[in-house]
Amino acid sequence: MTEPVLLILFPLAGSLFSLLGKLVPAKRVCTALALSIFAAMAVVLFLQLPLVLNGENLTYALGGFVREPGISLILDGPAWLASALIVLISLMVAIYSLDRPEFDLRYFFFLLMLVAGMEAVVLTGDIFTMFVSLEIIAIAAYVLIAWEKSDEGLLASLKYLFLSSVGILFFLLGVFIVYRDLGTLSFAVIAERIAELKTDPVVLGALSGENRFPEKIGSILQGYPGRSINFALAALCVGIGVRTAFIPFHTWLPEAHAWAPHPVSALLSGVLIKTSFFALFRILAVFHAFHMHSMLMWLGSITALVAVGWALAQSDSKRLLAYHSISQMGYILAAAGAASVFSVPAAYTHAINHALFKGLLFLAIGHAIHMVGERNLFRIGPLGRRSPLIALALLFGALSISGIPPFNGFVSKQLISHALDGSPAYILLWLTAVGTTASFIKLSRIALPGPKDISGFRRHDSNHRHSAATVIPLVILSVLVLLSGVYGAGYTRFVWRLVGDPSVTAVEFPALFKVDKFTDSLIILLLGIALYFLVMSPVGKRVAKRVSGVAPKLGTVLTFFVFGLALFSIAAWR
Amino acid sequence: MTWYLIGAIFLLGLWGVIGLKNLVKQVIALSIANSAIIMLFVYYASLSGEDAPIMDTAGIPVDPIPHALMLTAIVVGICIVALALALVYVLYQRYGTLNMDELEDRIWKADD
Amino acid sequence: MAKTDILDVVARKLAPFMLLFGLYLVSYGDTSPGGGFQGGVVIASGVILLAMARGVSAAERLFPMHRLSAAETAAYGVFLAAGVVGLVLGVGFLGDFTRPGWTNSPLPAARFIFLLNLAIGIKVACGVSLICMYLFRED
Repeated sequence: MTEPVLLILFPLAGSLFSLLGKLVPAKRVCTALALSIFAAMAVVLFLQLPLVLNGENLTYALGGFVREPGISLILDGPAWLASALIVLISLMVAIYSLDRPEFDLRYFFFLLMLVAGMEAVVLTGDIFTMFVSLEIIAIAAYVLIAWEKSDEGLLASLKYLFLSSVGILFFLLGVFIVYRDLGTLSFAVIAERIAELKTDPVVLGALSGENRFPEKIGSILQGYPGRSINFALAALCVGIGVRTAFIPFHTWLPEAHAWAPHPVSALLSGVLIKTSFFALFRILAVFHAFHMHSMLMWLGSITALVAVGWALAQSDSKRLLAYHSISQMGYILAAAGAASVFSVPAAYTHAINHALFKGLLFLAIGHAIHMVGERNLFRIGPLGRRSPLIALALLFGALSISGIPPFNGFVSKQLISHALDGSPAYILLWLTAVGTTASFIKLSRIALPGPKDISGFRRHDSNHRHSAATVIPLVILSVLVLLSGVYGAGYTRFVWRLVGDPSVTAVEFPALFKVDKFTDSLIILLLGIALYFLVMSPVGKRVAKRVSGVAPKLGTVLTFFVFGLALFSIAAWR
Repeated sequence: MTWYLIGAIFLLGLWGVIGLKNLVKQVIALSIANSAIIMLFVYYASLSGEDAPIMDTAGIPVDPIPHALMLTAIVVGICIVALALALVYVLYQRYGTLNMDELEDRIWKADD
Repeated sequence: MAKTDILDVVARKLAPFMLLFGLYLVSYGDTSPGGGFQGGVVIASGVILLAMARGVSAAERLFPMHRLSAAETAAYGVFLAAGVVGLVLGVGFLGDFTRPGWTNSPLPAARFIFLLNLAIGIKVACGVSLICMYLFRED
C-alpha cells in the first residue's frame, strides 16, 4: 500500500466515479465515492511517511518497464511534502464546494483530474511525463476557471490558455533539445549525464572558450551537448515559469484567480502555482543549475515587491488576494535561490504556509462575496457581527500573511530572512512585508465588527449561509494556520527532515520567538499602518486608480515571453 | 535545410499568436507552432534509421520513442485547440467580436 | 450555402470504410503502426465526416451523444480496471496480467496490448467525435 502510483490512481478512480454520475441516478453515492478517495490518499501518504523519513526514495515503474523509456515515479521527501499539501488543500476545497448546486459531479471530475495531474507532476521521474501532467493540470484548470460561464471568467480562462500554451511550446522545445543532446528523458539519467559533462575534456574546452564548437549541431546521441543544453534549461524554465507566474510571466494570474469560482481560486492559488514551482525546482536540481540561483533570488525579490505594489492599488478583494499570490511566490522563489543550507526548507515551509493561509483567505473572502453579492472590498462592508466566523478566518489569514507572530507566516518569513541573511535582496523582501501589511489592513475592514444587520445588503440564500460544508474547511485551515505557527520549531524540523540536505548534520535552527524578532515585526506593522494611510489619502487613491488601470494586452505579454526566454538563456549560459 | 524550414514554421506560428488580431487565427497559429515542434521530433527521429520500427524489419529501425511522445503531444494539442475554440465561440456569441484587445477592454475595464 | 451532391455521396460511401479502417488500426496496433489513439481518431474522423456532410442531427441518429458519452466512460473504466488488476495481482500498475502465473516480463503479450488499445480506441473515438459534434451543433 505504499506504491507511489496509488497517489495518482486514486484521484483517477474518483474522477471515474464522478463520470458514472452521468449514467446512474444515484448522484449522492457517486459524490461520496468520488470524495472518499481523499481518505484513501491520506492513508497511503500516512503509510509512506515513515519510509520517506528514513530517507528512502520510493520508485515505481509503470507496467513493470524498468528500462529507460518506461515511465517511472519517484517519491522522495520533497515529493511527499508536496503530495500531502495537494491532498490537504484539495480536500478542503472539495468539502467547501459540496453544498453549492453549481458544483455538480462534472465539476468534481475536473477537480479530481486536476489533483491527479498535480500528483503526477510532483511524482514523475521523467521530463516528458512532466509535460503531459502539466497539460492535464492546465486543461482542467481552464475548464474550472470558466466554470461559472461569466464573461470575465471565460476571458480569463482564454488568456491563461494562450499564455500557458505558448509557454508549454517552449517547454516542449526544451524537451527536444534534452532528448537530442542527452538521448534520455529520465531525470536520473539527465542528472548523471550532466554531471559527466562537467568533467568531459571536450566540453570543458568548449566552456573555457578554446574550442567553441566541439560537435556539429545535431550530433546524434553523441553526448556532446555543448551549449545548447543551456538553452534547453532556459526554455524549460520559461515553460514552467509561466505557470509559476513570476515576473515577467505573471499577467494571466490576477484575472484568472480573481474570476475563477471561489473554491477554485483557493485551489489555484493554494497548490497549483506551488506544483509548478516544485517542478521548476526539481528541474533546476536535475540540471545542477546552481549558477541560476542568484538570478532566481533577484527575480523573486523583484516579483515580490512589484506585485505587492499592484496589490495595494486594488479595490477588488479577490484580485488583491491574487496579486498577493504572485508576491508570495516571489518570496518562495527568492528563498529557493538563496545560497544557504536553509534555502530549500525555507522555500518549502513558505510554500506550505502560503497554501494554508491563502486557501483560508480565498475561501473566507469567497464566502463573504457569496453572502453579500459584492466583490469590492469597500462595499462588502464590515461583517464582524453578521458572521464572526468569516471575520475571524480573515483575520487569521491576514495576520499570517503579514508575518505577525504567532501565526505560521511569521515562522516561514523568519526562516527566509535567515536563509537570505546579509543578501541585498532581503531589503526588497523587507519592503514587501511592509506593503503586505498595509494591503491587509485595507482588506481587514471586512472583519471589523460593524452593524449587525444592514438593510442595504442583498441577501443571497440566507437559509444555508453557514452550512457544515463551508464551516469545516474554514475552521480546519484556521486551526492549522495557528498551530503551525505556535509549534513552529517542531514544524520546521519536520520539514527539514523531509527536504533538508542530508549531508548537513549539525543544523542550527534560528530561534523563532525572540524579542528582537518581535520588534522587527512591530516596526513592519507600524510602517505598514503608515503606508496604509498614505495609500488611503486622496493622492494615494488617485495613484492607485492609475496603477490598477494598467493591464498589458495579450500580444504585449507574449512579447514579454521572448524577452524572458532571452533573459533566462543569458542566466543559464555557462 | 529541413531544420530551418521547421524553425521558420515555428516562428510563423509564434508570430501569428503574438501579432494577429483575430482569435480564431490566433488559435490556428498556436496549432501551427505546436505542429512545428511535433515535426521537429519526428524529423529528428527519422534521421536515426531507415525502416519502420516493427519487429523483423530488414534495415535499421528508426527511434520509435519520439513518435510515441509526439502522439501524446498531438492529443494534448487537440484538447487545447478544441477548448480554445469553444471559449472563443462563446465569447463571440456574447460580444460579437474576435479581437482579444477589444474583449479585454470591454469585459475587464467595465468592472472598475 | 448550397451543398453539392458530390459531398453527400462521397461522405456516405466513404464513412463506413473510414470506420472500418479505424477498427483495423486499433486491432493491429501491437504488430504494425497504429494503435488505440490513431485508430480512434480515424473512427472519429468518419463520424465527423458524416456530421459535416449530412448535418449533426444525421450523425446523432447513428451515434447518439449520450451513448457516445456512456461508451467513453465505460472505456475509461475498462482502462483503469485493466491497470488495477495488474496492481492487485502483483505485476504492477498496467502490468501484463494475462500470462499464466502472473509473471511480468518486459514485453507484454499481444492480447494485453490489444485490450488496452481497444479501451483507448473507444475512448478517443467517442471523445473526439463528441468534441466536434458539440462544436458543430447549431443551437
